[in-house]
This record gives sequence, C-alpha cells and structure tokens, in this order.
Amino acid sequence: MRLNAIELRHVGVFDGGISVGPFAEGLNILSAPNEAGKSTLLWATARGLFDRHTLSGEAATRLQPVGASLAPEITVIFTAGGGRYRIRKRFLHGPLSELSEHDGGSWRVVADGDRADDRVLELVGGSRPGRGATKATHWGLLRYLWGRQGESAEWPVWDDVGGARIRSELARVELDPLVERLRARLEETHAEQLTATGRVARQSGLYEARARVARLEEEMASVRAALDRLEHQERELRSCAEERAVRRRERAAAEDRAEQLTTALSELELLRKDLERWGQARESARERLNEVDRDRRELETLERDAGEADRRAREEARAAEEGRDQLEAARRGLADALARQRELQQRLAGARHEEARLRDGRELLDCRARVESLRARWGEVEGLVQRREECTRRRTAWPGITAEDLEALRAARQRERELETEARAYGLRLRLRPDKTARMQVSRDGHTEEVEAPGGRETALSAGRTVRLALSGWGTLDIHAGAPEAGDVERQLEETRTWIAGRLRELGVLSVDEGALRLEQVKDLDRERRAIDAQLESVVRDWASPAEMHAELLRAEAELAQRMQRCGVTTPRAAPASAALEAELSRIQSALRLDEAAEAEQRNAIAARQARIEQAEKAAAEADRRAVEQATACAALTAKLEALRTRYPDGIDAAQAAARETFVTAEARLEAARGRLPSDWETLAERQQRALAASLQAAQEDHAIEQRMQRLEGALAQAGAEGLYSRETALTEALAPAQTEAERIERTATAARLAGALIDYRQRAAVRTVLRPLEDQLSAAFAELSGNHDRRVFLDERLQVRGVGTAPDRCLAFDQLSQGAREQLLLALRAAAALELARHEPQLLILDDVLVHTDPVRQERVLDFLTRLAEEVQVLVLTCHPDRYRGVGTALPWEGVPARTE
Amino acid sequence: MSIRFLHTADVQIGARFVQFGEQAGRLREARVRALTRLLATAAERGVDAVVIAGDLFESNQLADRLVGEVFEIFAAHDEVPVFILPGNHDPCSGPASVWMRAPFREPPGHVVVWREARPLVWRDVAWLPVPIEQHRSTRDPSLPMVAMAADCPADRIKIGVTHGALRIEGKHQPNDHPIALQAARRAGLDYLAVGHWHTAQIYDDGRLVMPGTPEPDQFGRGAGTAAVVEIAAPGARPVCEMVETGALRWQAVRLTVRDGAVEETAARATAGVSTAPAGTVLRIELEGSVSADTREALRRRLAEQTAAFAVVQVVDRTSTALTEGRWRSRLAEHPLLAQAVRDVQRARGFATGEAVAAAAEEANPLTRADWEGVCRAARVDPGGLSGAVFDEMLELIAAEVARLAAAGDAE
Repeated sequence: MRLNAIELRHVGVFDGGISVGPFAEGLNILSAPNEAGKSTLLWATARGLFDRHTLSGEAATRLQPVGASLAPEITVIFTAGGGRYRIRKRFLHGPLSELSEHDGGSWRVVADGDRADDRVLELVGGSRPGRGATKATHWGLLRYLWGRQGESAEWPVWDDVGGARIRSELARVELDPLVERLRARLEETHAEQLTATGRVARQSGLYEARARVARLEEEMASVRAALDRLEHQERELRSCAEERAVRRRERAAAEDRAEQLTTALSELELLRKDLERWGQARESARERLNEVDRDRRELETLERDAGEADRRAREEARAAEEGRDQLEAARRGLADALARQRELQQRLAGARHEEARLRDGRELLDCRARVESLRARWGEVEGLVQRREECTRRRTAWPGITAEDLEALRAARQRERELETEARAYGLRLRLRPDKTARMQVSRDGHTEEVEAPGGRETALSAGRTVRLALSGWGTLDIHAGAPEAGDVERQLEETRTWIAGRLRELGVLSVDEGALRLEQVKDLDRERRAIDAQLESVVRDWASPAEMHAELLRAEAELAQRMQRCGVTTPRAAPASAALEAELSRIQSALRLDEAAEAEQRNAIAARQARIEQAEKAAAEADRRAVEQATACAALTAKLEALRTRYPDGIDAAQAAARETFVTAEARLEAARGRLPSDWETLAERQQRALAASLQAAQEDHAIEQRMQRLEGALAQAGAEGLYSRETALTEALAPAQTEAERIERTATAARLAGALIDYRQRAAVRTVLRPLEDQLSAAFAELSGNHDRRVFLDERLQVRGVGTAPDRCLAFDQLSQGAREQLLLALRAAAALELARHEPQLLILDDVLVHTDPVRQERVLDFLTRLAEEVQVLVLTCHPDRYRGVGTALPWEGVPARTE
Repeated sequence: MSIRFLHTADVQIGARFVQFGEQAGRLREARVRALTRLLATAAERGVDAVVIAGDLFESNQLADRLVGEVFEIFAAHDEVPVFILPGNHDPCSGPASVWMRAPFREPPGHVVVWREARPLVWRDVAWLPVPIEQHRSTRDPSLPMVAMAADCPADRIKIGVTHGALRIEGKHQPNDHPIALQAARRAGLDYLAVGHWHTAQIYDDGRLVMPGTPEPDQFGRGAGTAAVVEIAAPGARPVCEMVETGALRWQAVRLTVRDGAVEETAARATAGVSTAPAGTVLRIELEGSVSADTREALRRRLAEQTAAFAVVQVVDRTSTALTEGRWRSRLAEHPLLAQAVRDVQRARGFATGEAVAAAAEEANPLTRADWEGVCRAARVDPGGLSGAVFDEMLELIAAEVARLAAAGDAE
C-alpha cells in the first residue's frame, strides 16, 4: 500500500478540515510544530482504513473535535492491489463508507457500507476484533511499518499473520501454508485439552473424562476396600476356627487332668489322716521322753546348785564378819583425824587474829600520812588565798585609771604644750643680761617658776601675752603684749589646762605621769593575782574546789581518830613503826598459809575416811544380805530336789527307758505310713488347682473366640449380602471405556502437541538456514546508520535480536543498547521489512518522530539511508524538526488549521 | 445299579465382560439363561441328577437380586435333583459365602449344596464331594476322596465331585487347586466330576471329566458344553456324552476398508457369520486408511447391519488418511511435511527402541537430542511416550492434511 492523500474534517484539532497530499512515491517530509496534529492525522487515517464506519463508543468519539459533537469524516486515497482507491468514511452521525476506484481519470464508486469497509480491509491486509475498535495488532503490515511516536523502542514480537509474513519475507523462507495451517490446527487440537504448560484445560473433554475416571476409581477403591475387608475377615474367621479347636482341645485335656488329680487328692486325704494319727502318737511319746529328760537334767542341776548354794552361804557369812571388823577400825581412825583437825583450827584462829591486828596498824600509818599530806597542801592553799585577797584589796584601793584615760590625758598634755608654743610665738621674748647673777620669779602662761640669770650673759625668756617678773630686790615687773591672736591661744590653753586638771581629779591622780605610774602598778597586781590563781589551781587540781579538799581533810582526820581509837593509841605519833609492822605481818601471813594448808589436808583426809566408812558399812550390810539370801536359796533348792525325787519313785533312769521305748514304737509306725504316700503328694493340690485354672482359662478363651467368631460371622453375612462383586463388575465395565476415552483424548492432545512442536522445530530450523543473509542486510544497514562497521546484528530463528557485537558470544542484548542505537536498529529492521515486502507490492514506511535520541552525525547518515530506501519504498516522515530534513525528499505543505468555531 | 446324570460346571453367573462396556449385561443375562437351559436339558434327557461341579456363581459377593433370580430358576425346575458344589469362584468360605446366606442357606428341597466334604449315599451311589473353601490353594482337592472312598463298600458306584485345575505341566498354576490327572483311579472312583477350565477335558481313562463352561465367554472357543454321564455299575467305564448347551457363538472377522466401499465392507462383516445373529457375539476388526467421512459412514452402516446381533464389538484400527498415492503426492509437494512425518517415525524408534534408519534424501535427520529438545519445548516427558502416541501423531497429521486438502484451504 501507498498513501496518496489524506483529508480530514471534524477530526480532533482539525474541526475545520485539513488536506495533506498528494504524497510523493519516495521520501515525504511532513513537518509541523508540536501538538499541530501530525499523529492525529495518522491515527485518523488508520481508523479510516481499518475500522467499520459504524464504529461507536469512545474510539469514535475521541475522533470528534473537543467539546463538539460533529461527525468526523476521513478520506484516504491510497494505492494497493494494483489500483488506486479512495475511501471516505463518516462516523457517529449519519455514518457512511464509500470506496471509489480511480478509473480513467475519474473516481468510480465500487462499494459502500460494510462492503466498502471489508474491501478496504482486504486491500490493506488488516483484520478486525470481534467488537470495538481496531488496534495496532489488527493493522496487518502497517503495525510493523509504522514507527509510532512515543512507543518504546522494543523489538517486534512478530506474533500474528502479518508478523509471520514479514518474518518469512525477511528470512526469505517460503512458508508452506499447508504446513502452517496444519501446525495451527494441531495446536488448536492440543489447546482444546491441555494448556501451554501441559496441564489439563478446565471444561475440556479430557478434564471431564479424567473427572469421570476419578469418580469411578474412587468408587472402585471403596468397593475393593470393602472386598479386602471381607477377605480379611474371612481369613480371620478361619484363623479363629483353628484357634478355637486348639483351645477346646486344651480345655478337654485340662479338665481330664484336673479330674485325675481330684481322685488322687481324695486318696491322699485318707493317707494323711493316718499320718496325722501316728504323728500325734509319736509326738506324745516324744514329749514324755523329753519331759523325763528335762526332769533328769533338772535333778542333776538342782543337786549341783544346792551344793554350790551352801558353799556360797558360808563364804558370805565369813565375808560379813570381816567387813564389820574393818568398819570398826575405820571409825577409830576418823576420830583421831577429827581431833587433830580441831587443834589445827584453833591455831589458825590465833594467827588470823594477829594478822588482823597488824593490818589495822598498817592502815593507821597510812591514814596518818595521808592526813599530814592533806594538811600541808591545805596550808599552802590558805597562803595563796590570803595573797590573792591582798592583791584584790590593793587593786580596789587604787584609782581606776585605764589605758584609754591615760592616752586622753597625754593627748591633752601634748595639746597644752603645742598651745604654749603657739602662745609663745605670739607672745613676749625677753633678753636679760644682768650684770651679775640674779634670781627672779617668772610667772607666765599660768604658772610660776624660779629662773636664775647668770651675770654678764644673756638670758632669754619668752611668754605669752603676759609675763610677770618678780625681781628680788627690785619688785614686780608685769609686761603685757598687745597681739590679738595671743588671746585666743591663751583661752584654748586655759580650757585645755582646765580639762586636764578636772580629769586628773576624777581619776584620783595628781599628774599625768602619776596616772601612768598607777596604771603600771594596776597591771602588775593583775599579773600577780593570775599567778596566785594558777598556783592555787595546781595545788587543788585533785579536787573540784578548795572546799572539797578541805572536806576530804576533815574526813581523813576523822578516820585517823577512829583508827587511833581502834589501835589504842592516843596520839598519832604513838603508832608502831611501819617497817617492824610490815615484817611481823609478813611472818604471820606465812605461818597462816601453812596452817591453812595443813587444815585443808586434814579436812580432806577426814572426808576420805568418812567415805570409806560408808562403803564399809554398805559392804557389811550387803554381805549380810547375801549370806541370808544364799541360805534361803539353798533351802529352796533342797525343797525342790526333794519334790522331784518324789515324782519318780522307781528312779529317773527307769522312767527314761520306758519313755524311749514308747517313742521308738510310734516313730516306726509313722514311717510306715509315710512310705505309702506318693512321691509328689505335696504338689498334687497345686497341680489340681493349676489344671482347673487352665481349664477355666481355656473355657474363657474359647468363649472369647466364640464371641469374636460370631461378630465376624455377622459382619461377613452382612458384607456378603452387599453384592460387592456385582458393584465392582459394574464399575469395572464403566471404568474401562472411561479410561480408554481419557487416554485417547490425552494421547490425541499429546500427539498434536508433539506433532506441532516437531513442525515448529523444522520451520525454525529452515529459518536458521537462511538467517545469515538477513543478518548481513540488517548488519549493513545498522552499520551505515551507526557508522560502526565492526559490529554485526545476530538474530535467532524467531527473528528476535540475540545481540549486537563482534561475535554471537560477545555481543550486547537489544535492551542493553542505547536508546539511539535501538531507534536506529529498529529503523534498519523496518526498512529491511519494507524492502522485502516491496518486492511484491508497494509499501509504505511511516516514521512518526521516532529518531528523537539520534545525534546530528547519525542524523545525516539516516538521511542518506532514507534517501536510498525511498527509491523502493514510500517513506513518510513526521517531524517537529524540519531543519533536520531540509533538502531531502518532498516537503509536504501543512495547511494551517482553521480556528474551530465555537 | 446304575446312575445317569448331567455334569456341568463354571456357569459363572455374574461374570464381568469389561471389553464389552454397556453390552456386558447381555452376556451376563445369557449365562443366567444357560442355567435354565441346562436344567431343561436335564429334564429332557431324563437324567437322575444334575451335578454342578463348582463356580455356579462368578463370585460370592453378587447382588442379592441376581442370586435370588438363580434361586427362583432352581425352584422352578424341580424335575431333577441338583447337587451343587462350591468352586473357587464361589467357595464355601464362611458366612459371607453365597451358600451360607439366604436364599441358598435353605435351598429348594431337590437341591443339595455340598458345603462340606462328607460322603452322601443317594440312589445307592456314593457321592464323594470335596467343596472348595477358599479362592486359592496348592492342595489337591481330590485327595480326601481317597479316604472317603476307602470307607465305602466296594460294590457301590463311587462318584467324586470337586473343583480345580488339572495338574498339567505348564498349564496350571500351583495354587489353583491342582488335581492329579489320575485322581479318579487313585481314589478308586468310578467317575470324578470336576470343573474349573472352560473347555472340556477328559482324563484318567475317561473317569476324570471337566465338561467346560455351558456358555462360551471368549472368541474362538466354540460352543458351550455339558456332559451327560452314565455309569452302569461299580467299576464300569463311564459313558460320557458331551452336549452343546451354549446359546451364543463368539465370532470375529477382520476387514480391510477403503473409501467408497462402505456397503461392501458392511456386507462382508456379517457374510461369514454362520450362526443366527441373535445368538452371536460378533467382533469386527477394521483396518486400512479411509477418509473421516468414510469412517463415519461405515460406522453408521455397520450399526445397521449388526443391529440384530446379540453383542457387537467393533475394533477400529483404520486411519483417516489420504489415499496412498495422494499421501505420497502431498509429501512430495510439501518437503517440510515429509520431514515432519519422517521425524515422527524416527522419534517413535527412539521411544520404542525400534531403530528407524534415516531416509537417503534426508539431509538433516532428527537426532535423539533434537527429539528431547522438542519434547522439552512441548513440556512432554519423552520417557513416558508409547508407540500409540506416535501412531496418533501420524494419524493426526494425515487426518488434518486430508481435511485441509478436502477443504481446499491449502491448495
């Protein structure tokens, strides 16, 4: 097919209509800005060629201008099948379809309506879906030869009839239509029963057949399980019957045995009674014999015991006598010891009295020394107290001048002197030069002094405002100065002198110097008093106060008086000398310790003697008691001996011989009875019980088996009546054809699958044989576009790119190539497809802005490539970059789009 | 002192016929009718008794309805006393046995079921039955007859009855109740009536007889039979007459079919049948290559032609292919198709182990690896394929090519 012209009206942005064409047979460049409607033009063209004019729904309304309900009209003039045609379609409102053929310079309508739609579809080689609008997959070859704007750069799948045709053309393999249809039919046959993954398709014949088989098999399994149970129960029943027979034989044997044992036990019982009788006789004889033996042994024992008892009685009497003698001697020794102890105690008392007297004397001496010591220290305390009181008295009598007072007086005196100096500066200055020494009284500045002026020399006097000179022999001379400042100074001087004098009076001193002296004296007194206090504290440091010290002295004196009275001395000095006293006391104490030890020893000896006497007394009493006891026992034995002898008047030997004879006779008879007992008589009863138990157990087991058999027989009778074999027969006869049918269907489906796969395998093998030329063609085109002549394009037998590279095992997969390379490879593929298809009929290749990632260098190569391609194929390039295509092909005029009328 | 009786066995009432599908019921009904016929024959022949030497029933676990039907047949034919011996198919194995359950627990008065090996003197003849009590046994069931016969007076006819395979080397199973071929003489019997095999057997100088089944159940086995036996006196050689008792004849025909010969083929299908259709079980085996239409037409025509037959089994081994000439022509015109057909044949060889040599013109014959690759692509396990799958592949290819050719699609 080739396009000649396109006219649109009321389509998308072209609501006013647009006419594009006529197209050249070679390269056509249709350039317009973005959103001008280039792609809309192509989509509308596809609708006009492939869709029914009665198309409705969203696909049709999307053709309408936005916001308008106008009927879209599409007219396409194209060349196909050796003729030139014009199809005109209107959608939605008043839909129409009209196909005209160019005939002799004019258009002749050849079909309309659905027939026109179908005829166009036949001419351009498309198909239609069952309902709705067509898609790219229905557009036949155009699906592959139209590079759509914005589509992803992916390799075509070649999965429909158009694709297969292109594949065959590309690979130059003449596809055998018969084989192709055969393969398709085989695949259909397979797909009716099995999925592509080999599973059984739902609702398929195989599915139903298998389900029926499964149902029958399930039912069959149930019947066969029941049959197996039945057979098992029959075997069990047979086994039970055999077991029951065994048990019954065992039971009969056990019962026979028990019967025999019962008879043997009855006979044994009679024999055992004889044995019992003779056994009792033997036991009586044995008891009599034993009794005589016992009596004989007792008689002998009594005779021996009686002799022994008599001997011991005599010994005990002798021992009692000896004990009494020893007791008497011990008592005498005790009396001697007690006398000696009394002597020792008396001597000890005297020594203790002397020791007490000496101790009192020593304590009197100690007490006297202490009183004297206290008195001495107390005298010292009294002296210190007196000195301290004297100091206190003197301190109280003296004026109470303080260091501050003295300091104030000295400051006032200094002020006085300064005022005097100042007064003199303002006052009079007299120079006297008597001819001879003269004495005079000078009264100035408030005091008078005797001044002697040597003759012939100048004596200078100075005074304040007034000075009086009393000259002996001459009279008084008052001299007054006239300076006014001198008056103020004199007045201040007077006030100062008045204050000093008043303060001295208050303090009780005559002058400042005396005040200073008094102050030093007061300090000395204070120091002395503190020294006395320190001494006093040192002396009475052992007491809380001097009063306590004195109280202790008084107590010591009283104690001394008491001790003197106790010792009988009138004065303290009459007490014995300390050294002699100590020596006597030491001697007395040594003697006392010796006496005390002797007394203690004596006391212990007395206690020991007393203990021995007590033991001797007890021994004597015990000896007496034993002597009496032995005498009593001896008498009792003698009595028993006499009684025993009385029981055997013929003598014990004769009685013993008679009893032995009786026993031997009984023993012989018993042994004879025992000889008649069976050898196993002791286990007969046990064996009989065992036989009876075995019989009972066998009977119980027989009963249990019987019950089990009854249950089995009931179950078998019930199962036997179920007609299991008939049911199994019916199922088997139904199952066999069902299985055959299922196997047949599966076999057919599998065979179809394998046959189709084999044919496919052979087809692909055929493709592989001619793949190389196609790879050469694609590789050359791609090399021309990319400028890289070292690479090849490798295809698989389904014409999918295996990779691009220098060798099949060193190449990049298609999706690993750059966007630009993929665009160019796809262009090369489309070009190859168009060239091959153009060998049979004209072809159209549409490139709608598909080279968006191609760089300028390769763009130039693309133009070269397209120019050569256009010699064989009509090429329509839609672009928004007219500059890239200037100078090549035919630039189609793009009529301006009239503004849509609202 | 003489005795005359009808000896039969292996009526196998309730037997299954899996290969006949829905028609199997007719064959079962025929075996019930065979019993009726046997009893009627006995009455007609005026025999003293009917002895059924085992396997009256196919199984102990038959439907009560069927057992009841048989009971009614016996009840309705009381002219001749009947002795029934349990066989290995219907052993007296316990409460589940058909002989221990109603209604045969209390059979009609003229019917005796031998449930245990106990001699019976009837009509001055010592009957020594040894019934079978389990399906399988390696014990010779005729052995107890030695002791039983020894206890019988010498001047009395002694007839043993039991059931089992005859001990013939290579023909019997060791656990199939094997009976020694000289069992009758060994026990001193005048006659040993046995059953088990479905074809008549006579051994031990005519004293050991197996009459075969009264109604045939396999193709190529002839008519069903029973034995009418007469023993004149103790020690006398029994006179045994085999009488045909079967109502059905089993016949098979094999036909090669071709297109355009539907009528001829249908006619040939029944032309060789010598028996009445209502009494014939017919198997028709079809071979050859025909079109699907011919096959369908033949199927319909055969159904019409054999409608009167008791049972018909058609085994269709035809293939719906082009004629040989057209098929060869197609293969020559379509090399890829020819290659695929050769591939199937070679693949068949891989699967079945039957090597198929590559054709001389074949440049690239299918290898085992190629075939396994094809199977992988098809998700089919090559090891699980039988020769039938490859036959089906060829049949499918041929049928589809024929169909496409007929439709003219490929032309």
